[in-house]
Amino acid sequence: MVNEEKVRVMTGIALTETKYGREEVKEGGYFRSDYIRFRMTSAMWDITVSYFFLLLLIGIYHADYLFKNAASLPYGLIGAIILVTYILFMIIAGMGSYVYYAREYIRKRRILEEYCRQLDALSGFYHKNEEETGDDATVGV
Amino acid sequence: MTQLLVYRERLIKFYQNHAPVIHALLRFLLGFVSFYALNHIVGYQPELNHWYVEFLLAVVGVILPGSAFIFLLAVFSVVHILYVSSLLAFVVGMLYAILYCSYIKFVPRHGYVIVALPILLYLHLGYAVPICLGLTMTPLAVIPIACGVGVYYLLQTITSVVSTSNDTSISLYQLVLQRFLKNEEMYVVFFVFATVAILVYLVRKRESDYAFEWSIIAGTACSIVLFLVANYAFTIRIGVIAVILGNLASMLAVQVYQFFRLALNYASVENLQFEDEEYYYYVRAVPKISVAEPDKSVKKFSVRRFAENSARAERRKQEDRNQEISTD
Repeated sequence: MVNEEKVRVMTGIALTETKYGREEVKEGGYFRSDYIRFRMTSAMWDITVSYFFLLLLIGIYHADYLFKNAASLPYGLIGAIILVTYILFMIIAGMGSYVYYAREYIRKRRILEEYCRQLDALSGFYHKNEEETGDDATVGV
Repeated sequence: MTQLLVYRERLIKFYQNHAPVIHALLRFLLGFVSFYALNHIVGYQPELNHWYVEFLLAVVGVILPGSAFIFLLAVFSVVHILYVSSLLAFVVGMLYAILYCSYIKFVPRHGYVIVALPILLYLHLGYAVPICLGLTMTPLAVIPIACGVGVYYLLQTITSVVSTSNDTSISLYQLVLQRFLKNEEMYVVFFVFATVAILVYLVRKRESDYAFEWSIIAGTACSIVLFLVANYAFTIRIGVIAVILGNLASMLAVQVYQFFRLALNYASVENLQFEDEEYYYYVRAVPKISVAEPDKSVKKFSVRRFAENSARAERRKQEDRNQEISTD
């Protein structure tokens, strides 16, 4: 006979895995510091790539001027401006990504905890079945 | 009103029963409209500017996941621009890459807003977007609004510059960027959309009856007033009739969307108060309306059949009586 309560729990697990399985369930198991550190590094790398593309576009825009005055450009000043703005970008990106991913971790952790509660409930059904039938190889509802 | 709610329940049930087919159809329609709009905004590549290409790409879009579909739209627009200037296509590609790496990668859902805005602005339905975002998101929605409006006006600027200039060198890129940054209409549209989104958010957060509905009306009114003021104050050309009609059509569309998203029964509001160890709670509970579809059972009465059945029953009764008499 079909155990309705067990089917409900299994359906809930399947729904959680379908909706959240790819990211939340996988990443909720990380330690908080590891998760935030990994995500911050990835975010800062993405911002670095974007900054490089932005510099490229600005360079193309001023290409005529740069080529005409290549010998007399204040490279030190330009380098300092690029470096300072890059550091500012990195600080803003670092702070923003820390706040964002700290909240994301809490959200993913809650989903993982709910998923584990559902798995515990299902495990309870199997234990109960084992006690009743004395057979731990029985598969089914 | 009850009849509307019954239709709503029926439509929801119909959608639930046929969800995969409806999803596929909707994705196809969205894809077709998107590629159609892009072909009309930057349709330079003659091989791509045909209805069957839009159809085929829309079919491909049904199979692809959402992020891949957005990537396909971006590549489609870059390929069109490549036909007139490879440098411009490179620049637009770089700008898309910057947008992806610095923003869309972290909040992928906003990518759909950034893609939808240029297409809806082209179709004169962009007024619905800030109202929808105000209903469903926080004031941070101004960021995808800014990006979407920027992408639309960048493509418009490219179209206008390319149509008046035969240059393909760096000066074309410089001209495009200068006109883009000096585009007053873009700043006006961004300002109005941002204001509408924030206003809708603030009104719908209030704890009053029909807050969602009032927020939609307030957003529409604000949009119309701001666009009319901007049309008068700045040197931009925005059609007054188009603005008013577009806003009214958007308001209607958003009201329908809100009706299907959340139907609340304000006549049965409950105000509760309770406490726990930490706080004392004041709670206002507004029940959602759920109407059960009436079960109809139609019993057909045919006069002739009714008469025949009655006569047959009478005859049986008579036979039974005759049998009883004969046995007696």
